[in-house]
Amino acid sequence: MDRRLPENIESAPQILDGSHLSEHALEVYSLGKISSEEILATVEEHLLVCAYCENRLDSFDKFHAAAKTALEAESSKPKQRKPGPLWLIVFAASVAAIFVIPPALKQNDAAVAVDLASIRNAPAVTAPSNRRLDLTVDLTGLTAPSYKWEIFNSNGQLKASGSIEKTSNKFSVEGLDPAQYWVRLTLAGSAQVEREFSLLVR
Amino acid sequence: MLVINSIDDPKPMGNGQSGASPSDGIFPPQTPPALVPPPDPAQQINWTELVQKIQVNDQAALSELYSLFSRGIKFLIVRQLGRQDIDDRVHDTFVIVVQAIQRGDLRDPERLMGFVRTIVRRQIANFIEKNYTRRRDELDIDGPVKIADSHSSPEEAAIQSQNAQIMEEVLRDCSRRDREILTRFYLLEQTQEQICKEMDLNDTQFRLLKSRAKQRFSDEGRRRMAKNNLRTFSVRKRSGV
Repeated sequence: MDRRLPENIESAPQILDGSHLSEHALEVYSLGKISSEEILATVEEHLLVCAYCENRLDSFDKFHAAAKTALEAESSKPKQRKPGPLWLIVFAASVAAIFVIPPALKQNDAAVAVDLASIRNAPAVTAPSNRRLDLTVDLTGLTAPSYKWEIFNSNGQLKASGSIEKTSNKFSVEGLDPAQYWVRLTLAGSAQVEREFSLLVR
Repeated sequence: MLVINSIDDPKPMGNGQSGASPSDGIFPPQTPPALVPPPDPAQQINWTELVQKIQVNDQAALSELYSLFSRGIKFLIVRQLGRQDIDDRVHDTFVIVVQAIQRGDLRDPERLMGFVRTIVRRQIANFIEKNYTRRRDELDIDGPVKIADSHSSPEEAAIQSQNAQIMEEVLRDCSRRDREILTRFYLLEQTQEQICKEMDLNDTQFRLLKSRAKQRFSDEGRRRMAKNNLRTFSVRKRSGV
């Protein structure tokens, strides 16, 4: 068996470091990026009996969750900068008016791709408000040829709906206001809920 | 002040692995105790003997099996399903493992860990399936639908929020470039290859940055915990508890 981790994560380090899981193996497992069933089995079998590695994995889990939350918060904060001298501001504004603003406005119209996962305890998916959102939903395990999608706000009001084919798991919605939404997939022509995803628009 | 050495400007990390600058004065550099990992528990067990004893319902062997696996079974189930009904789920899984061993389903005792893991995974799939079926059945009935709240408990939410604050503090002391690397990896989920290529880094620089950030996060978490414990202790002492 090839007891190395996928190369696309790092340059093929070992799963075990001595008789315990390597730091790398724990990190990759914590990030959910082990695709090989054999490697996954090795890692999980060891975790079943080893409290030491379990604690180390727990610290990776905490670190990753905190890093994601803090980085998300940071990237959504508006950047504050000290204004420069007046002439520089006027010059920068002129340049921006000519070259920067038109492309930037164009970019603001661009759709934002959002992946909705149906994993329990997955971090909340966030998307920007008042932009077109290209939503991709996880249809793994679903077998019907088509589904109806509906977006509800937290008051249960229907905000948008449509249908998708099993062959394409994407659909778009136009500018949602900042709020918590629920994206629900039902079988076409029935009220049976097949999937439900959380979507936080900020 | 917390200091994270930028990969652009690597500085010595003090005596320990904490990465704290010796000059910051708040956290004196400490030499961590020589941490020797405990031996791998799996290598200390005679699996054949344990399985044979379980097959004849030996109570001591059952107890050993439980103490060996219950924590790990719980850990894997909690990661997938959360804490709801966790004790019942661990118990159900353990009963299935014992029954399967006693029926002779485990042919090679050396594969006991793999056998237990397979049963745990099957149980997790069953729990998900049952949950799905229950929700579907409830939706067929007119009336209010009960959906379990998947949010964290208030305690978990408080811990997560505190961890995020610690991380924000750690990030504040990172250079802009280091923050960009962490954002690309943890938030945008770009691959290491892509990040290293686009930001002109080698594997060692990339690994160092991540491990330093994690180390700072752990150190700051421990520091806050010690501070809280000290505060609790002094409050108790003052109130005579």
